[in-house]
Amino acid sequence: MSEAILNASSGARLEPFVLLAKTAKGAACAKLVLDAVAAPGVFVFSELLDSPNVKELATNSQFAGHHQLLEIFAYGTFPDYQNRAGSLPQLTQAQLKKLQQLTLVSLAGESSTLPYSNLLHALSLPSVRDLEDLIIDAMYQDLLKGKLDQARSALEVEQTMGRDLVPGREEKLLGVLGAWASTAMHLLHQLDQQIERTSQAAADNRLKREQHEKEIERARKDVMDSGKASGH
Amino acid sequence: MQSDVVSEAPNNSGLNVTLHPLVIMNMSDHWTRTRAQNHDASVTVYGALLGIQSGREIEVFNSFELPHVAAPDGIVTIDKNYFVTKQEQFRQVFKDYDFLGWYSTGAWPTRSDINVHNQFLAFNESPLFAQLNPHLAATSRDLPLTVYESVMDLVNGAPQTMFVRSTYRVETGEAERIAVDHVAKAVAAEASEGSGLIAHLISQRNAIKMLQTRIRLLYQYVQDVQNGTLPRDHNLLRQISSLCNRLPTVDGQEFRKEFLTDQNDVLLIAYLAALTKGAADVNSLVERFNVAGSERVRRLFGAKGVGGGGGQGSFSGFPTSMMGMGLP
Repeated sequence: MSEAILNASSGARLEPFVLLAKTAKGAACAKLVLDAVAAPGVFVFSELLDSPNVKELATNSQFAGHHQLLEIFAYGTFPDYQNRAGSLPQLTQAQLKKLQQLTLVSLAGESSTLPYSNLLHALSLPSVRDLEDLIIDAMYQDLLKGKLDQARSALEVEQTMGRDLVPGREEKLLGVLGAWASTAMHLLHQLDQQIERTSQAAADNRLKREQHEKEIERARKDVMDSGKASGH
Repeated sequence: MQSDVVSEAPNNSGLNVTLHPLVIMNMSDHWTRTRAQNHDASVTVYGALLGIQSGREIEVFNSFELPHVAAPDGIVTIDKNYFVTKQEQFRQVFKDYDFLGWYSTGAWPTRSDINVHNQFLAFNESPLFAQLNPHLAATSRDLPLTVYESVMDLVNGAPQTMFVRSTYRVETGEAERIAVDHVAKAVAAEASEGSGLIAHLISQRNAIKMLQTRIRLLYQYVQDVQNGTLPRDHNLLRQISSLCNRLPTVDGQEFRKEFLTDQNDVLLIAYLAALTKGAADVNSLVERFNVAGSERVRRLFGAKGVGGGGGQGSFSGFPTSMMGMGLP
């Protein structure tokens, strides 16, 4: 199950678009970008952003919006789009839904418990029903795994896909991994101490028991001796 | 190297062979023991496989060892009388187990194995042959075990028994898993300071150690990508970021609360156990003291005939009240 989730992070579905981008220029490339962000099952875009023709779009005044849109789909969130909606291409229903789901993944990365109220606000959705439909669809698409907690009106996320990483912004990953490594290190240290303490205690115990046995033996001998002495 | 008695023909018998770990442990143990007794690494052992066959499903549950006689010319003869007796004994205990095949050790089947195989044909018309290879490199990830079925093949116009490789699965029942686990770990547990706790801690430590090296590796990779020393692989980075998104795995108010409750419960139980043990020790001490004391009283006063019973009574009041305190 956990592997199925990671599949959404795989660039395999994006592959055809990357191939097409090799030959498409200008308007054709802009169209390709729109197709890619609309295509079902395509949730990662780094490879496409890396292709030279797509990079060219950024400098083309007519299609710069398309490049920005692709960047938002790769790294950004729905609020990012709303803030700049004026200069960006209009989104179709499918594209909108996908961006909302990607936003959901980003939010889930920050906290594993997401209250519905926050989500409704961040995704500009009118009702809880719409939100839950969106989440359920995201679960079926292998974007995230979790539980809908209706009693507390919150989404509990267990696992999410990995979204594209903004180039040069690996600090967050390094921070998390570093903290994890040091926690593991700390645990190792603690375990070592515990092991040492336990074996020390076991050795002490054995020593004490041996001394105790000796003492009993001595006492028994004393009693026997005194018994013999008084008996005669 | 290939054997001249193994047919390369594809196996189309459609048999589903399932081995249980007990069988594999038995075989390995049999060989190791025999080898240690004879101080000879080239020793070969033989045994029978028992289990249940229903249709094309074959499940091997157990095995037993078979004595054999090796003639100077290399022809091995299995002790048939022993085999028949042993099989009958097994039948009394495990009613539904049948004789399914046999096992031996070696790198690949030889003509001598064909010869042994033919000796078993009287008991099962198509026995399985499981061969354990004890000399395989320890680094190999696969089990050093191959299961063969036999087929009749025409070689130069004459019919001949040949072996065909068969696939097998290893399957474990829950009870069996625990038992086999216990057997496999018994040695390790006894070697340590007589405490299972230390063995447990060490295995946990090793697991965390491994996790830690893996995390270091990921850390190093991300750092190298950041510095540009390694090419940026988007798939890998996304997977790492997905992993990071899972962290922290446990947090939140509910977890903390339940964790504390659990911890307190465990501590309380440990405390109660220690208390009970202490009370029991005190009780037995008092009882012993009582016996010794009353003995002394009798010896001191018994001869004069003064209140031996009274002395006893004054002592015996003590342990009963202790018991009342010790056992809630």
